[in-house]
Amino acid sequence: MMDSSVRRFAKHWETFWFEDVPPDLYSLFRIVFGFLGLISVLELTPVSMFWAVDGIAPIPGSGIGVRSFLMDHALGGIAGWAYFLGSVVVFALMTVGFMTRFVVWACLVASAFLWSWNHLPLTSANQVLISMLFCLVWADCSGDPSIDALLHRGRGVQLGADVQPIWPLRLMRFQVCLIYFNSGISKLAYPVWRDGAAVHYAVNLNIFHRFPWPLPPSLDWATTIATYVTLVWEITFPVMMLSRVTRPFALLLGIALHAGMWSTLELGPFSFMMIASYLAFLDPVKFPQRHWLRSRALLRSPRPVVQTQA
Amino acid sequence: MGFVRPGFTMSRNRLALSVVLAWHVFAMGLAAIPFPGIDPLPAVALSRHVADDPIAATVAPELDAAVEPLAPVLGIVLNTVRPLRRVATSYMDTLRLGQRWIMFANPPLVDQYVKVRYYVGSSPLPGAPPRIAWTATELVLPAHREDQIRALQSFRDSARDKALAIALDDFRAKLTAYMDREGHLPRELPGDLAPIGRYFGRRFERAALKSNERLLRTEVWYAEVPNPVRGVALEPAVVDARLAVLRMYYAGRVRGPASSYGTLAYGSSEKEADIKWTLLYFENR
Repeated sequence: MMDSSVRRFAKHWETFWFEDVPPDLYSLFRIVFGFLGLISVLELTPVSMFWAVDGIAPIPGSGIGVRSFLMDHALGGIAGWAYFLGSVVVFALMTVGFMTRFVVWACLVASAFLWSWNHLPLTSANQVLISMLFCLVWADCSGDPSIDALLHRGRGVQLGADVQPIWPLRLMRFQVCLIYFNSGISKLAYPVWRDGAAVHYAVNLNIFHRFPWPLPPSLDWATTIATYVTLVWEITFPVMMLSRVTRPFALLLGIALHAGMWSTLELGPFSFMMIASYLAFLDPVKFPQRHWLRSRALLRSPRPVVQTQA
Repeated sequence: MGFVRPGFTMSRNRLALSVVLAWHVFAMGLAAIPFPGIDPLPAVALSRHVADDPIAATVAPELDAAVEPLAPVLGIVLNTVRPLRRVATSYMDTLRLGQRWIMFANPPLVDQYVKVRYYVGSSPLPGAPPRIAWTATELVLPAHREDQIRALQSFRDSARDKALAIALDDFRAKLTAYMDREGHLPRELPGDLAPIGRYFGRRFERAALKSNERLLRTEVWYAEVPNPVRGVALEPAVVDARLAVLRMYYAGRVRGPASSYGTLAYGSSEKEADIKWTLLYFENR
Protein backbone atom coordinates (compact mmCIF):
# COMPACT_ATOMS: atom_id res chain seq x y z
CA MET A 1 0.00 0.00 0.00
CA MET A 2 2.76 2.34 1.15
CA ASP A 3 4.91 1.35 -1.79
CA SER A 4 2.15 1.99 -4.28
CA SER A 5 1.50 5.45 -2.80
CA VAL A 6 5.20 6.29 -3.05
CA ARG A 7 5.27 4.99 -6.61
CA ARG A 8 2.20 7.03 -7.54
CA PHE A 9 3.70 10.13 -5.99
CA ALA A 10 7.04 9.55 -7.69
CA LYS A 11 5.33 9.08 -11.05
CA HIS A 12 3.30 12.20 -10.57
CA TRP A 13 6.42 14.08 -9.51
CA GLU A 14 8.33 12.96 -12.57
CA THR A 15 5.52 13.90 -14.91
CA PHE A 16 5.06 17.23 -13.19
CA TRP A 17 8.69 18.31 -13.43
CA PHE A 18 10.26 16.31 -16.23
CA GLU A 19 7.78 15.77 -19.03
CA ASP A 20 8.95 16.96 -22.39
CA VAL A 21 7.26 19.86 -24.13
CA PRO A 22 7.88 21.68 -27.44
CA PRO A 23 10.48 24.44 -27.14
CA ASP A 24 8.38 27.15 -28.84
CA LEU A 25 7.17 28.81 -25.65
CA TYR A 26 10.74 29.14 -24.44
CA SER A 27 11.62 30.85 -27.72
CA LEU A 28 8.80 33.31 -27.21
CA PHE A 29 10.02 33.96 -23.66
CA ARG A 30 13.49 34.66 -25.01
CA ILE A 31 12.18 37.23 -27.48
CA VAL A 32 9.83 38.96 -25.06
CA PHE A 33 12.19 39.12 -22.08
CA GLY A 34 15.15 39.96 -24.30
CA PHE A 35 13.23 42.94 -25.62
CA LEU A 36 11.98 44.00 -22.18
CA GLY A 37 15.50 43.63 -20.77
CA LEU A 38 16.78 45.87 -23.55
CA ILE A 39 14.11 48.47 -22.76
CA SER A 40 15.03 48.25 -19.04
CA VAL A 41 18.68 48.89 -19.81
CA LEU A 42 17.89 51.82 -22.09
CA GLU A 43 15.64 53.26 -19.39
CA LEU A 44 18.75 53.68 -17.21
CA THR A 45 20.14 56.59 -19.20
CA PRO A 46 21.99 58.92 -19.37
CA VAL A 47 24.85 56.51 -18.85
CA SER A 48 26.79 59.01 -16.77
CA MET A 49 23.91 59.15 -14.28
CA PHE A 50 23.38 55.46 -13.54
CA TRP A 51 26.29 53.43 -14.92
CA ALA A 52 29.35 55.56 -14.20
CA VAL A 53 30.84 54.80 -10.79
CA ASP A 54 30.60 58.49 -9.87
CA GLY A 55 27.00 58.85 -11.06
CA ILE A 56 23.93 58.61 -8.83
CA ALA A 57 25.26 55.39 -7.37
CA PRO A 58 26.33 54.36 -3.88
CA ILE A 59 29.77 55.65 -2.97
CA PRO A 60 32.33 52.90 -3.69
CA GLY A 61 33.74 51.23 -0.64
CA SER A 62 31.62 48.18 0.07
CA GLY A 63 31.72 44.76 -1.55
CA ILE A 64 34.89 43.30 -3.03
CA GLY A 65 36.22 46.67 -4.14
CA VAL A 66 35.72 46.52 -7.90
CA ARG A 67 34.09 49.95 -8.05
CA SER A 68 36.67 51.45 -5.69
CA PHE A 69 39.46 50.12 -7.89
CA LEU A 70 37.86 51.57 -11.01
CA MET A 71 37.27 54.90 -9.29
CA ASP A 72 40.85 55.08 -8.02
CA HIS A 73 42.21 54.44 -11.50
CA ALA A 74 39.84 56.93 -13.15
CA LEU A 75 38.13 54.11 -15.03
CA GLY A 76 34.66 54.57 -13.53
CA GLY A 77 33.23 56.28 -16.61
CA ILE A 78 34.72 53.84 -19.11
CA ALA A 79 33.66 50.85 -17.05
CA GLY A 80 30.13 52.26 -16.83
CA TRP A 81 29.92 52.67 -20.59
CA ALA A 82 31.33 49.18 -21.14
CA TYR A 83 28.78 47.67 -18.76
CA PHE A 84 25.95 49.61 -20.40
CA LEU A 85 26.95 48.76 -23.96
CA GLY A 86 27.63 45.14 -23.02
CA SER A 87 24.15 44.88 -21.53
CA VAL A 88 22.56 46.44 -24.62
CA VAL A 89 24.40 44.01 -26.88
CA VAL A 90 23.57 40.84 -24.93
CA PHE A 91 19.89 41.72 -24.57
CA ALA A 92 19.69 42.61 -28.27
CA LEU A 93 21.34 39.28 -29.16
CA MET A 94 18.99 37.45 -26.83
CA THR A 95 16.01 39.03 -28.58
CA VAL A 96 17.17 37.99 -32.03
CA GLY A 97 18.48 34.64 -30.82
CA PHE A 98 22.16 34.75 -31.74
CA MET A 99 24.57 32.63 -29.66
CA THR A 100 21.50 32.11 -27.55
CA ARG A 101 22.75 29.78 -24.82
CA PHE A 102 25.63 32.08 -24.04
CA VAL A 103 23.79 35.40 -24.23
CA VAL A 104 20.88 34.31 -22.02
CA TRP A 105 23.43 33.49 -19.32
CA ALA A 106 25.19 36.78 -20.01
CA CYS A 107 21.90 38.65 -19.62
CA LEU A 108 21.29 36.94 -16.29
CA VAL A 109 24.77 37.80 -15.00
CA ALA A 110 24.54 41.41 -16.27
CA SER A 111 21.14 41.93 -14.62
CA ALA A 112 22.10 40.29 -11.35
CA PHE A 113 25.42 42.11 -11.00
CA LEU A 114 23.66 45.43 -11.55
CA TRP A 115 22.36 45.19 -7.96
CA SER A 116 25.98 45.34 -6.78
CA TRP A 117 26.99 47.97 -9.31
CA ASN A 118 24.16 50.42 -8.62
CA HIS A 119 20.98 49.33 -6.88
CA LEU A 120 19.55 52.83 -6.59
CA PRO A 121 17.51 53.05 -9.82
CA LEU A 122 16.48 49.38 -9.82
CA THR A 123 12.84 48.45 -9.30
CA SER A 124 10.87 45.27 -8.88
CA ALA A 125 10.94 45.02 -12.68
CA ASN A 126 14.63 44.14 -12.45
CA GLN A 127 13.88 41.49 -9.83
CA VAL A 128 11.22 39.97 -12.08
CA LEU A 129 13.65 40.00 -15.00
CA ILE A 130 16.35 38.22 -13.00
CA SER A 131 13.89 35.63 -11.70
CA MET A 132 12.62 34.87 -15.19
CA LEU A 133 16.10 34.75 -16.72
CA PHE A 134 17.20 32.36 -13.99
CA CYS A 135 14.50 29.93 -15.14
CA LEU A 136 15.15 30.53 -18.82
CA VAL A 137 18.88 29.72 -18.72
CA TRP A 138 18.08 26.07 -18.02
CA ALA A 139 16.07 25.66 -21.22
CA ASP A 140 17.26 25.73 -24.80
CA CYS A 141 15.40 28.72 -26.17
CA SER A 142 17.37 29.09 -29.37
CA GLY A 143 14.52 27.78 -31.51
CA ASP A 144 12.64 29.60 -34.24
CA PRO A 145 12.41 32.46 -34.85
CA SER A 146 16.09 33.10 -34.21
CA ILE A 147 19.33 33.77 -36.04
CA ASP A 148 20.76 30.58 -34.57
CA ALA A 149 17.96 28.57 -36.15
CA LEU A 150 18.42 30.35 -39.47
CA LEU A 151 22.15 29.67 -39.49
CA HIS A 152 21.68 26.04 -38.61
CA ARG A 153 19.01 25.63 -41.25
CA GLY A 154 21.35 27.18 -43.79
CA ARG A 155 23.93 24.55 -42.92
CA GLY A 156 21.31 21.82 -43.05
CA VAL A 157 21.80 21.02 -39.37
CA GLN A 158 19.00 20.33 -36.89
CA LEU A 159 19.15 22.93 -34.09
CA GLY A 160 19.06 21.81 -30.48
CA ALA A 161 16.53 19.42 -29.02
CA ASP A 162 13.06 19.05 -30.44
CA VAL A 163 11.64 18.91 -26.94
CA GLN A 164 12.52 20.61 -23.69
CA PRO A 165 11.81 19.71 -20.07
CA ILE A 166 8.91 21.52 -18.54
CA TRP A 167 10.54 22.27 -15.19
CA PRO A 168 11.91 25.73 -16.08
CA LEU A 169 8.38 26.68 -17.07
CA ARG A 170 7.04 25.27 -13.80
CA LEU A 171 9.58 27.35 -11.89
CA MET A 172 8.41 30.46 -13.73
CA ARG A 173 4.81 29.72 -12.81
CA PHE A 174 5.76 29.20 -9.20
CA GLN A 175 7.72 32.44 -9.29
CA VAL A 176 4.78 34.48 -10.61
CA CYS A 177 2.43 32.98 -8.02
CA LEU A 178 4.95 33.73 -5.29
CA ILE A 179 5.29 37.35 -6.37
CA TYR A 180 1.57 37.98 -6.09
CA PHE A 181 0.95 35.94 -2.96
CA ASN A 182 3.86 37.52 -1.17
CA SER A 183 2.91 40.99 -2.26
CA GLY A 184 -0.70 40.39 -1.14
CA ILE A 185 0.28 39.09 2.29
CA SER A 186 2.63 42.04 2.84
CA LYS A 187 -0.17 44.43 1.91
CA LEU A 188 -2.58 42.71 4.30
CA ALA A 189 -0.23 43.56 7.17
CA TYR A 190 -0.68 47.27 6.60
CA PRO A 191 -3.83 49.05 7.82
CA VAL A 192 -3.88 51.30 4.76
CA TRP A 193 -4.79 48.28 2.60
CA ARG A 194 -7.38 46.96 5.02
CA ASP A 195 -9.15 50.30 5.28
CA GLY A 196 -9.35 50.60 1.50
CA ALA A 197 -7.23 53.76 1.14
CA ALA A 198 -4.00 52.35 -0.32
CA VAL A 199 -4.77 52.93 -4.00
CA HIS A 200 -5.99 56.44 -3.17
CA TYR A 201 -2.57 57.27 -1.70
CA ALA A 202 -0.64 55.42 -4.41
CA VAL A 203 -2.27 57.26 -7.32
CA ASN A 204 -1.75 60.59 -5.58
CA LEU A 205 2.02 60.20 -5.09
CA ASN A 206 3.83 62.91 -7.01
CA ILE A 207 6.73 60.63 -7.91
CA PHE A 208 4.46 58.10 -9.60
CA HIS A 209 1.17 59.65 -10.72
CA ARG A 210 0.75 60.01 -14.47
CA PHE A 211 -1.94 62.69 -14.42
CA PRO A 212 -1.46 66.07 -12.78
CA TRP A 213 -4.95 66.25 -11.33
CA PRO A 214 -5.72 64.66 -7.95
CA LEU A 215 -8.68 62.29 -7.89
CA PRO A 216 -11.76 64.09 -6.59
CA PRO A 217 -13.27 62.71 -3.37
CA SER A 218 -16.37 61.75 -5.37
CA LEU A 219 -14.29 58.99 -6.99
CA ASP A 220 -12.98 57.56 -3.73
CA TRP A 221 -15.34 54.60 -4.08
CA ALA A 222 -13.37 53.55 -7.18
CA THR A 223 -10.02 53.57 -5.39
CA THR A 224 -11.56 51.67 -2.48
CA ILE A 225 -12.81 48.95 -4.82
CA ALA A 226 -9.44 48.88 -6.60
CA THR A 227 -7.69 48.44 -3.25
CA TYR A 228 -9.79 45.47 -2.18
CA VAL A 229 -9.83 43.83 -5.62
CA THR A 230 -6.02 44.06 -5.77
CA LEU A 231 -5.66 42.63 -2.28
CA VAL A 232 -7.99 39.67 -2.86
CA TRP A 233 -6.67 38.98 -6.35
CA GLU A 234 -3.02 38.93 -5.25
CA ILE A 235 -3.60 36.64 -2.27
CA THR A 236 -5.80 34.21 -4.18
CA PHE A 237 -3.73 34.25 -7.39
CA PRO A 238 -1.87 30.97 -6.69
CA VAL A 239 -5.11 29.18 -5.84
CA MET A 240 -6.82 30.50 -8.96
CA MET A 241 -3.93 29.19 -11.06
CA LEU A 242 -4.69 25.64 -9.93
CA SER A 243 -7.96 25.43 -11.82
CA ARG A 244 -8.49 25.65 -15.57
CA VAL A 245 -11.74 27.49 -14.84
CA THR A 246 -10.35 30.30 -12.69
CA ARG A 247 -6.96 30.62 -14.42
CA PRO A 248 -8.10 32.68 -17.44
CA PHE A 249 -10.17 34.90 -15.16
CA ALA A 250 -7.21 35.57 -12.85
CA LEU A 251 -4.87 36.27 -15.75
CA LEU A 252 -7.33 38.59 -17.50
CA LEU A 253 -7.93 40.43 -14.24
CA GLY A 254 -4.15 40.66 -13.82
CA ILE A 255 -3.77 42.19 -17.28
CA ALA A 256 -6.56 44.66 -16.47
CA LEU A 257 -5.01 45.61 -13.13
CA HIS A 258 -1.54 46.08 -14.62
CA ALA A 259 -3.00 48.09 -17.50
CA GLY A 260 -4.81 50.21 -14.91
CA MET A 261 -1.58 50.70 -12.96
CA TRP A 262 0.32 51.59 -16.12
CA SER A 263 -2.28 54.15 -17.14
CA THR A 264 -2.34 55.90 -13.76
CA LEU A 265 1.20 55.37 -12.43
CA GLU A 266 4.64 55.60 -14.01
CA LEU A 267 6.31 52.40 -12.84
CA GLY A 268 8.87 51.92 -15.59
CA PRO A 269 8.79 48.49 -17.23
CA PHE A 270 7.21 46.70 -14.25
CA SER A 271 3.67 46.32 -15.67
CA PHE A 272 4.98 45.02 -19.01
CA MET A 273 7.32 42.62 -17.24
CA MET A 274 4.51 41.13 -15.14
CA ILE A 275 2.09 40.77 -18.05
CA ALA A 276 4.87 39.12 -20.08
CA SER A 277 5.46 36.64 -17.26
CA TYR A 278 1.89 35.36 -17.77
CA LEU A 279 3.19 33.59 -20.88
CA ALA A 280 4.35 30.91 -18.44
CA PHE A 281 0.73 29.90 -17.94
CA LEU A 282 0.14 29.13 -21.60
CA ASP A 283 -0.06 25.46 -22.50
CA PRO A 284 3.36 24.73 -24.04
CA VAL A 285 1.92 21.96 -26.22
CA LYS A 286 -1.11 23.76 -27.55
CA PHE A 287 0.74 27.04 -27.94
CA PRO A 288 2.70 26.20 -31.11
CA GLN A 289 -0.33 24.44 -32.58
CA ARG A 290 -2.50 27.48 -32.13
CA HIS A 291 -0.27 30.41 -32.78
CA TRP A 292 1.80 32.04 -35.48
CA LEU A 293 4.82 29.97 -34.65
CA ARG A 294 2.95 27.05 -36.16
CA SER A 295 3.84 28.28 -39.62
CA ARG A 296 7.46 27.40 -39.01
CA ALA A 297 6.46 23.76 -38.63
CA LEU A 298 6.52 23.63 -42.41
CA LEU A 299 10.24 24.23 -42.20
CA ARG A 300 10.95 21.49 -39.70
CA SER A 301 10.41 17.83 -39.36
CA PRO A 302 7.34 16.79 -37.36
CA ARG A 303 8.02 16.38 -33.67
CA PRO A 304 6.60 13.73 -31.39
CA VAL A 305 3.31 14.49 -29.73
CA VAL A 306 3.70 15.12 -26.02
CA GLN A 307 1.12 15.38 -23.33
CA THR A 308 1.11 17.99 -20.65
CA GLN A 309 -0.75 18.63 -17.48
CA ALA A 310 -0.45 22.41 -17.96
CA MET B 1 21.04 3.89 -10.06
CA GLY B 2 18.49 6.45 -8.98
CA PHE B 3 15.09 5.87 -7.44
CA VAL B 4 13.70 2.39 -8.10
CA ARG B 5 10.31 0.92 -7.21
CA PRO B 6 8.53 -1.98 -8.90
CA GLY B 7 7.16 -0.55 -12.12
CA PHE B 8 8.93 2.79 -11.72
CA THR B 9 12.50 3.99 -12.08
CA MET B 10 13.85 7.51 -11.83
CA SER B 11 17.35 8.11 -13.14
CA ARG B 12 20.10 9.33 -10.82
CA ASN B 13 20.25 12.66 -12.69
CA ARG B 14 16.56 13.24 -12.31
CA LEU B 15 16.66 12.23 -8.68
CA ALA B 16 19.43 14.75 -8.01
CA LEU B 17 17.60 17.42 -9.97
CA SER B 18 14.44 16.61 -8.03
CA VAL B 19 16.22 17.28 -4.76
CA VAL B 20 17.58 20.59 -6.09
CA LEU B 21 14.18 21.64 -7.43
CA ALA B 22 12.41 20.75 -4.19
CA TRP B 23 14.94 22.73 -2.17
CA HIS B 24 14.88 25.67 -4.58
CA VAL B 25 11.10 25.98 -4.52
CA PHE B 26 11.05 25.62 -0.74
CA ALA B 27 13.82 28.20 -0.30
CA MET B 28 12.15 30.59 -2.73
CA GLY B 29 8.92 30.48 -0.77
CA LEU B 30 10.55 30.68 2.63
CA ALA B 31 12.92 33.50 1.74
CA ALA B 32 10.10 35.53 0.28
CA ILE B 33 7.72 35.26 3.24
CA PRO B 34 7.61 38.61 5.01
CA PHE B 35 8.89 38.02 8.56
CA PRO B 36 7.89 40.35 11.39
CA GLY B 37 11.06 41.56 13.10
CA ILE B 38 13.16 40.98 9.98
CA ASP B 39 11.18 42.66 7.25
CA PRO B 40 9.73 46.15 7.56
CA LEU B 41 6.31 44.92 8.61
CA PRO B 42 4.26 46.73 11.21
CA ALA B 43 2.75 45.08 14.25
CA VAL B 44 -0.81 44.28 13.26
CA ALA B 45 -2.79 47.37 14.11
CA LEU B 46 -6.44 48.06 13.53
CA SER B 47 -7.08 50.02 10.38
CA ARG B 48 -8.85 53.35 10.29
CA HIS B 49 -12.54 52.56 9.90
CA VAL B 50 -14.13 55.05 7.56
CA ALA B 51 -17.79 55.73 8.12
CA ASP B 52 -18.34 57.85 5.03
CA ASP B 53 -17.20 55.17 2.59
CA PRO B 54 -19.81 52.39 2.73
CA ILE B 55 -17.54 49.81 1.07
CA ALA B 56 -14.59 50.45 3.39
CA ALA B 57 -16.92 50.72 6.40
CA THR B 58 -18.11 47.16 5.69
CA VAL B 59 -14.90 45.48 4.58
CA ALA B 60 -12.27 47.04 6.88
CA PRO B 61 -13.67 45.66 10.17
CA GLU B 62 -14.06 42.22 8.58
CA LEU B 63 -10.45 42.23 7.40
CA ASP B 64 -9.24 43.43 10.80
CA ALA B 65 -11.20 40.67 12.49
CA ALA B 66 -9.65 38.11 10.15
CA VAL B 67 -6.07 39.34 10.50
CA GLU B 68 -5.92 40.04 14.23
CA PRO B 69 -6.22 36.43 15.46
CA LEU B 70 -4.00 35.21 12.63
CA ALA B 71 -1.05 37.33 13.69
CA PRO B 72 -0.03 35.37 16.84
CA VAL B 73 -0.47 32.00 15.11
CA LEU B 74 1.59 33.18 12.21
CA GLY B 75 4.20 34.46 14.67
CA ILE B 76 4.58 31.00 16.22
CA VAL B 77 4.89 29.32 12.81
CA LEU B 78 7.39 31.87 11.57
CA ASN B 79 9.49 31.62 14.72
CA THR B 80 9.66 27.86 14.26
CA VAL B 81 11.04 28.12 10.74
CA ARG B 82 13.20 31.18 11.43
CA PRO B 83 16.56 29.27 11.41
CA LEU B 84 15.66 27.61 8.12
CA ARG B 85 14.71 30.98 6.76
CA ARG B 86 18.22 32.23 7.33
CA VAL B 87 19.64 29.36 5.28
CA ALA B 88 17.04 29.90 2.55
CA THR B 89 17.73 33.63 2.43
CA SER B 90 21.48 33.09 2.19
CA TYR B 91 20.96 30.61 -0.63
CA MET B 92 18.66 32.94 -2.55
CA ASP B 93 20.90 35.95 -1.97
CA THR B 94 23.92 34.00 -3.22
CA LEU B 95 22.04 33.29 -6.45
CA ARG B 96 21.06 36.98 -6.56
CA LEU B 97 17.45 35.84 -6.40
CA GLY B 98 16.69 37.45 -3.05
CA GLN B 99 13.11 38.53 -3.21
CA ARG B 100 11.14 41.22 -1.39
CA TRP B 101 7.84 41.66 -3.14
CA ILE B 102 6.58 44.56 -1.05
CA MET B 103 5.90 47.14 -3.73
CA PHE B 104 3.30 49.63 -2.53
CA ALA B 105 2.68 47.53 0.59
CA ASN B 106 2.96 50.71 2.59
CA PRO B 107 2.53 53.58 0.13
CA PRO B 108 3.92 56.88 1.41
CA LEU B 109 1.24 59.33 2.47
CA VAL B 110 3.31 62.29 1.34
CA ASP B 111 4.59 63.90 -1.82
CA GLN B 112 8.38 64.08 -1.86
CA TYR B 113 10.67 66.78 -3.23
CA VAL B 114 14.44 67.19 -3.40
CA LYS B 115 16.26 70.32 -4.44
CA VAL B 116 19.99 70.93 -4.73
CA ARG B 117 21.55 74.32 -3.98
CA TYR B 118 24.88 75.35 -5.39
CA TYR B 119 27.07 78.08 -3.89
CA VAL B 120 29.31 79.63 -6.49
CA GLY B 121 32.48 81.61 -5.82
CA SER B 122 34.31 83.77 -8.29
CA SER B 123 37.91 84.98 -8.38
CA PRO B 124 38.39 88.58 -9.38
CA LEU B 125 41.97 87.85 -10.44
CA PRO B 126 43.56 84.66 -11.73
CA GLY B 127 45.02 82.70 -8.81
CA ALA B 128 43.16 84.70 -6.16
CA PRO B 129 40.96 82.70 -3.73
CA PRO B 130 37.31 82.70 -4.83
CA ARG B 131 34.78 84.77 -2.93
CA ILE B 132 31.21 83.67 -2.56
CA ALA B 133 29.17 85.28 -5.32
CA TRP B 134 25.79 83.71 -5.95
CA THR B 135 23.66 80.59 -5.52
CA ALA B 136 21.48 78.54 -7.80
CA THR B 137 18.81 76.10 -6.69
CA GLU B 138 17.49 73.23 -8.80
CA LEU B 139 14.55 70.90 -8.21
CA VAL B 140 15.76 67.35 -8.90
CA LEU B 141 12.90 65.23 -7.50
CA PRO B 142 10.52 64.63 -9.12
CA ALA B 143 12.24 64.69 -12.47
CA HIS B 144 9.07 65.57 -14.33
CA ARG B 145 6.64 68.49 -14.13
CA GLU B 146 3.74 67.80 -11.84
CA ASP B 147 1.40 70.03 -13.80
CA GLN B 148 1.60 67.99 -17.01
CA ILE B 149 0.59 64.51 -18.08
CA ARG B 150 3.57 62.15 -17.97
CA ALA B 151 4.16 60.59 -21.37
CA LEU B 152 7.17 58.83 -22.92
CA GLN B 153 9.91 60.93 -21.32
CA SER B 154 8.58 60.02 -17.90
CA PHE B 155 9.57 56.39 -18.54
CA ARG B 156 13.21 57.47 -18.32
CA ASP B 157 12.51 60.01 -15.60
CA SER B 158 11.12 57.26 -13.41
CA ALA B 159 14.61 55.72 -13.07
CA ARG B 160 16.02 58.99 -11.71
CA ASP B 161 13.08 59.40 -9.34
CA LYS B 162 13.56 55.85 -8.13
CA ALA B 163 17.30 56.36 -7.58
CA LEU B 164 16.72 59.46 -5.51
CA ALA B 165 13.88 57.87 -3.54
CA ILE B 166 16.01 54.82 -2.70
CA ALA B 167 18.97 57.03 -1.70
CA LEU B 168 16.62 58.90 0.64
CA ASP B 169 15.32 55.61 2.08
CA ASP B 170 18.90 54.41 2.66
CA PHE B 171 19.78 57.74 4.30
CA ARG B 172 16.76 57.67 6.62
CA ALA B 173 17.43 54.07 7.61
CA LYS B 174 20.97 54.95 8.71
CA LEU B 175 20.01 58.33 10.15
CA THR B 176 18.09 56.69 13.00
CA ALA B 177 21.20 54.80 14.08
CA TYR B 178 23.27 57.98 13.74
CA MET B 179 20.89 60.02 15.89
CA ASP B 180 20.78 57.29 18.55
CA ARG B 181 24.57 57.31 18.83
CA GLU B 182 25.90 59.54 21.60
CA GLY B 183 28.23 62.35 20.62
CA HIS B 184 27.54 62.02 16.92
CA LEU B 185 29.39 64.46 14.70
CA PRO B 186 28.12 66.14 11.52
CA ARG B 187 30.90 64.51 9.51
CA GLU B 188 29.55 61.10 10.56
CA LEU B 189 26.18 61.74 8.90
CA PRO B 190 25.21 58.93 6.51
CA GLY B 191 26.71 59.57 3.10
CA ASP B 192 23.84 58.17 1.06
CA LEU B 193 22.89 61.57 -0.31
CA ALA B 194 26.44 62.44 -1.33
CA PRO B 195 26.07 60.89 -4.82
CA ILE B 196 23.07 63.17 -5.45
CA GLY B 197 24.92 66.33 -4.41
CA ARG B 198 28.08 65.36 -6.29
CA TYR B 199 26.41 64.25 -9.51
CA PHE B 200 24.21 67.33 -9.85
CA GLY B 201 27.07 69.52 -8.64
CA ARG B 202 29.31 68.30 -11.46
CA ARG B 203 26.52 68.72 -13.98
CA PHE B 204 25.94 72.27 -12.74
CA GLU B 205 29.64 73.09 -12.96
CA ARG B 206 29.78 71.98 -16.57
CA ALA B 207 26.61 73.74 -17.60
CA ALA B 208 26.54 77.01 -15.68
CA LEU B 209 29.93 78.15 -14.43
CA LYS B 210 32.29 80.57 -16.13
CA SER B 211 36.03 79.99 -16.20
CA ASN B 212 36.65 82.25 -13.19
CA GLU B 213 33.89 80.63 -11.13
CA ARG B 214 34.06 77.64 -8.85
CA LEU B 215 31.52 75.55 -6.99
CA LEU B 216 32.17 76.04 -3.26
CA ARG B 217 29.35 74.16 -1.61
CA THR B 218 26.48 71.84 -2.53
CA GLU B 219 23.40 71.31 -0.37
CA VAL B 220 20.68 68.67 -0.70
CA TRP B 221 17.28 69.74 0.64
CA TYR B 222 14.33 67.44 1.16
CA ALA B 223 10.64 68.13 1.70
CA GLU B 224 7.54 66.07 2.36
CA VAL B 225 4.07 67.43 1.83
CA PRO B 226 1.19 65.34 3.18
CA ASN B 227 -1.26 64.09 0.58
CA PRO B 228 -4.93 64.73 1.31
CA VAL B 229 -6.59 61.94 3.26
CA ARG B 230 -9.32 60.05 1.49
CA GLY B 231 -12.53 62.04 1.25
CA VAL B 232 -10.84 65.42 1.60
CA ALA B 233 -9.90 67.68 -1.30
CA LEU B 234 -6.98 70.10 -1.02
CA GLU B 235 -7.83 73.79 -0.87
CA PRO B 236 -7.37 75.23 -4.40
CA ALA B 237 -5.39 78.16 -2.95
CA VAL B 238 -2.92 75.74 -1.33
CA VAL B 239 -2.53 73.80 -4.57
CA ASP B 240 -2.04 76.99 -6.59
CA ALA B 241 0.59 78.34 -4.18
CA ARG B 242 2.57 75.12 -4.34
CA LEU B 243 2.33 74.98 -8.12
CA ALA B 244 3.57 78.56 -8.34
CA VAL B 245 6.70 77.55 -6.41
CA LEU B 246 7.22 74.43 -8.51
CA ARG B 247 6.75 76.36 -11.78
CA MET B 248 9.50 78.72 -10.68
CA TYR B 249 11.81 75.70 -10.52
CA TYR B 250 10.45 74.20 -13.75
CA ALA B 251 11.61 77.39 -15.52
CA GLY B 252 15.21 76.51 -14.67
CA ARG B 253 17.71 76.87 -11.86
CA VAL B 254 16.65 79.65 -9.50
CA ARG B 255 19.48 82.10 -8.97
CA GLY B 256 19.75 83.87 -5.63
CA PRO B 257 22.04 85.70 -3.23
CA ALA B 258 24.61 83.79 -1.21
CA SER B 259 23.83 85.36 2.15
CA SER B 260 23.26 82.00 3.83
CA TYR B 261 26.69 80.68 2.83
CA GLY B 262 28.40 78.95 5.73
CA THR B 263 25.51 79.47 8.15
CA LEU B 264 23.32 76.45 7.44
CA ALA B 265 23.81 73.17 9.26
CA TYR B 266 22.20 69.77 8.96
CA GLY B 267 18.50 70.06 9.83
CA SER B 268 18.14 73.71 8.84
CA SER B 269 14.77 74.44 7.33
CA GLU B 270 13.05 76.87 5.01
CA LYS B 271 9.53 77.12 3.64
CA GLU B 272 8.04 77.77 0.22
CA ALA B 273 4.21 77.68 0.10
CA ASP B 274 3.28 74.44 1.90
CA ILE B 275 6.64 72.86 1.11
CA LYS B 276 8.84 72.80 4.21
CA TRP B 277 12.43 72.04 3.20
CA THR B 278 15.00 70.42 5.47
CA LEU B 279 18.73 70.45 4.77
CA LEU B 280 19.84 66.81 4.80
CA TYR B 281 23.30 66.93 3.28
CA PHE B 282 25.97 69.45 2.40
CA GLU B 283 29.48 69.29 1.10
CA ASN B 284 32.04 72.08 1.06
CA ARG B 285 34.79 71.99 -1.51
